[in-house]
Amino acid sequence: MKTLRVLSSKPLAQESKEKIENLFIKKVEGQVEFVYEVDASVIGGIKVIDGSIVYDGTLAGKLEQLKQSLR
Amino acid sequence: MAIDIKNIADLLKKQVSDVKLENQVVDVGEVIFSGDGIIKVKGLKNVKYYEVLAIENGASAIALNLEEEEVGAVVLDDDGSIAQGMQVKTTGKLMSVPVGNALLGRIVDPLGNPLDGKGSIDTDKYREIEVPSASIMDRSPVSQPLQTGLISIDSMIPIGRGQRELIIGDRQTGKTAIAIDTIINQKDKNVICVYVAIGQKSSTVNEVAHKLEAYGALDYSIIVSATAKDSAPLQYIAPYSGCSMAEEFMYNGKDVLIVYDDLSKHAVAYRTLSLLLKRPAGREAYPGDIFYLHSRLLERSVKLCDALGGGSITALPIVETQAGDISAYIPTNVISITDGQIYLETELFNAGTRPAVNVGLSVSRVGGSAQIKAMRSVAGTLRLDLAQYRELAVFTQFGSDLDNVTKAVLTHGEKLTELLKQPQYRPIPVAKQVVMLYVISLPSLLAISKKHVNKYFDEFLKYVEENNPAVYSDIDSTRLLSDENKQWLAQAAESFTKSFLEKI
Ligand SMILES: Nc1ncnc2c1ncn2[C@@H]1O[C@H](COP(=O)(O)OP(=O)(O)OP(=O)(O)O)[C@@H](O)[C@H]1O
Ligand SMILES: [Mg+2]
Repeated sequence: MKTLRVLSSKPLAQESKEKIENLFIKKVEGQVEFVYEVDASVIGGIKVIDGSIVYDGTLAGKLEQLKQSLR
Repeated sequence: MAIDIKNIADLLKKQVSDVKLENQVVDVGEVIFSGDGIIKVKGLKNVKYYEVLAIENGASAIALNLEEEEVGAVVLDDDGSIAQGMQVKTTGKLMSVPVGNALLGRIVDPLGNPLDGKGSIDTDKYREIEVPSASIMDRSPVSQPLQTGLISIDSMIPIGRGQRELIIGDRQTGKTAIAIDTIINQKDKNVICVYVAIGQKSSTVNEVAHKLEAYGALDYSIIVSATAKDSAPLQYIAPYSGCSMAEEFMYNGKDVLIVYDDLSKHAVAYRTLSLLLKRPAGREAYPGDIFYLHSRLLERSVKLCDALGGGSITALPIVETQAGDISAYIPTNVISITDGQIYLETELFNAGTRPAVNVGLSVSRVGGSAQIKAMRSVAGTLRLDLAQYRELAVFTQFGSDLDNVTKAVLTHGEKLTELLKQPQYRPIPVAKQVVMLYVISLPSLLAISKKHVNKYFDEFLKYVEENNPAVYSDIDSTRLLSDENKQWLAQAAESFTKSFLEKI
């Protein structure tokens, strides 16, 4: 069984969790388990971690992109 | 001048609003080994060959070894601060370098960073350094000469645009000199030159840059330099970077000349990398794919068909031999990949025959069709004449009783040998080469001894320029040496010889 970690700055509503789970069950092969974590450093949005692959939809990630492009 | 704050603010706003912020899928791995410019990374399942990796400390690396559980990558800007456990991310970008006109006249490292203190390189065009070569259908046969300005080469080992001609010889035999003279000879000929220095001393590279500048050749050239002090990864990517810079011009319809100085040192850099990456080693401890590496690089030198603009890349790769041994691994490889070789010899060099080209062992497999007709007509028997001369010269060392025919072959051969000697940085235009080769065989030249040959031609070429410059311009425009001009040259040589002999 695979474990996907879902990071967000605040606890997610049940409705959002269902949306996320529906999306990722299709993407990932086999049985999946979702673990939700609250991590203030993401600032906003969510980040889904599947082993070494990170689906980054967070504000922190976007700020990092902005920082890179202004270097 | 007052700083316009509003302007700066607007500029920043625009820059910020131009940035596309996207949800990203990144592959994140972890450094499990770091040392000697190499990292091994756990994870990164979806990484691509040649993808740029971003390391947590701000350094970047290129993924080269893609294995089941780990990825081997070479670090480009290692400041020694990479540690085990650091995060490594894929960037989705393949290794690229800046390209375009902004690079002309510049000295850059293999990443395209300026090394000449002339400020930043202003271009927004980039090109990946590892790209497939043009397909067979996109190519056209080599048919135009690329003049080196060296009479021994242009007459007997002619190089065409889009050709790959190896310069091979022991150390200090004038390999670099041939390449530099060829670059200098491209002045006002609409050819862009890229000189890639791999694993050389930085003083040698500086010397090259100074010479190019002094002869007005830097303006149309790019120098890509990874010196012996640079890391093996930088030395390894240097020729690919240079080639991509050349390709940008070729795909815009330009003719380009690229020099790889040299591929022996490139092979050594790759061997170092491969040993660090723990790849299996083959002959002379080089990894098995070194052949493939060099052939893929040289395959990128082509003549494009007209539909693609007709541009070309002519490559002069240089290989250093040990004690003249061309059967070592790297020399045989590159000989088999290229369209011919210019073979330089220490003995000739030391005997004062410079350029020290061994004509017997040098060939150009496609260049003949790229020679202008005038040159073909005067140089047709040159190889044979010289071969005969060399044979007889060995044979007659022991005896002194020579018949007249033998004597004639010997004296003519000696004079030809003198004629083919040429100092550095003095390229001769093809029209003048044609005149020299035509005139040397005229009967009136029998009176000129070999020690006066060079002086004779220095003055004779000037004499033609002053009295009948149309001889040169005719050759340039019609590519032929007309009967009329031949006649004029024969008469001119006769009277010129008389006055020359009176003076000396
Ligand atoms: N045609 C020439 N006439 C006179 N001197 C020459 C000529 N060609 C080269 N030289 C001199 O010979 C020396 C060696 O030349 P060059 O550096 O081109 O050789 P190389 O084979 O590239 O050497 P290396 O193995 O060190 O790279 C230099 O000092 C150069 O100035
Ligand atoms: Mg050299």
